Amino acid sequence: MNNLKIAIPVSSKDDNSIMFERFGRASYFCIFDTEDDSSVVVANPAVGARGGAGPRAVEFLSSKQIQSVIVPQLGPNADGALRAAQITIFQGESLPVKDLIAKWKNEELNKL
Amino acid sequence: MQITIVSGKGGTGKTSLAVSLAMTLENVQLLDADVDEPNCSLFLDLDTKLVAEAKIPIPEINYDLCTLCGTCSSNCEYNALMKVPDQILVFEKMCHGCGLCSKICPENAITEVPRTIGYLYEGENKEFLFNYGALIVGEELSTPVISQLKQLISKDKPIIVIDSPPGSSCPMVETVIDSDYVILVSEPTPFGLSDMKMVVKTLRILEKKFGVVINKDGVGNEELELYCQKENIPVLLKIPFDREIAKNYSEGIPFLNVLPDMDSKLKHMIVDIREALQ
Repeated sequence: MNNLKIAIPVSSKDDNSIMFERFGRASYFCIFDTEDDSSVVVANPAVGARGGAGPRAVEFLSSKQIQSVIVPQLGPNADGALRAAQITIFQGESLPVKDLIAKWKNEELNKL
Repeated sequence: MQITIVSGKGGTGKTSLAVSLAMTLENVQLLDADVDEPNCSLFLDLDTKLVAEAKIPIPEINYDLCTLCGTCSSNCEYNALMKVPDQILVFEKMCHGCGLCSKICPENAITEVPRTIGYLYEGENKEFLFNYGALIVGEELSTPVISQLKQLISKDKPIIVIDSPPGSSCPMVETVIDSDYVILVSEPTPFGLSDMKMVVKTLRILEKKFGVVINKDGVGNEELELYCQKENIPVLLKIPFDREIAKNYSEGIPFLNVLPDMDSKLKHMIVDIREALQ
């Protein structure tokens, strides 16, 4: 498998937080790297945006060379932005990040 | 003289008052600037026609020149531009038309193209001129529609009455900003008073002269009037809480035509306002 970076919106820096139910307004993104199975949690610069938090978050993730995201529901702007940025979208659910990564590895997540 | 009718809370009677007031005046222009939901025309017996489109300029990227440097997207205050690896996305509905991107693009790759967000209408009956703006359903920016509606203000009319959107945010500020006098309609309820206080604060920052009309007088409590006394805000008029007013309103008849003494009361109010402005 090629080296991939996957981002998941989370609300805290905890090692094993649960996916946040909103994408653009999440406080942090957990970025998982398949190269060495490592993960880092980074602050989402779009969290306080007056409007357009979704696209702004996508721009940030795109700049971090993210290839895939595991997300809750998406607004139309975020959805369009992710597709334009050629980031693959997987439907997540309210589970710990580790479990979502495991499901993604087992190809149990639906591609949107 | 430009008089604008505002309120904090919605549904306090701005439109009722604006229409009734305009009808008592001669050679008047009435402007319905509540462009999210213009409804003065429901009370007026005149035909209106489309006279202009309200537009804002939005960016168009010329990819022969664009180097995808991202200067435009990283400086957009409204997050209307976004850089992805092979293009700059424009989110039209997020764009406020400020034009910054086209000015700061180092490659001159951005031109501004107009996008229609609303329509402006006009109707006339003898000396009564009426204009209103209507934001297109699904659009979010009412302020530019209001500013373009105000360009239709007639220089030939000695008095202009403007019906403002509710609240105290940008659309209301845009509506009152060049008015000579502001009438604040409120209802004597805790909710009405709470929202009114925000408008008073805004009008004071804008250094506007204003007075209060108490609508639905008789409901709620005394707090509103006590507040006006304490703050030295003149109470210009009281409109009673009256079932007949509501019944006629539902049939498109303003309170002016329901209460026999209202015509002279409204005319007196204008005299008081003229005095306050001297």
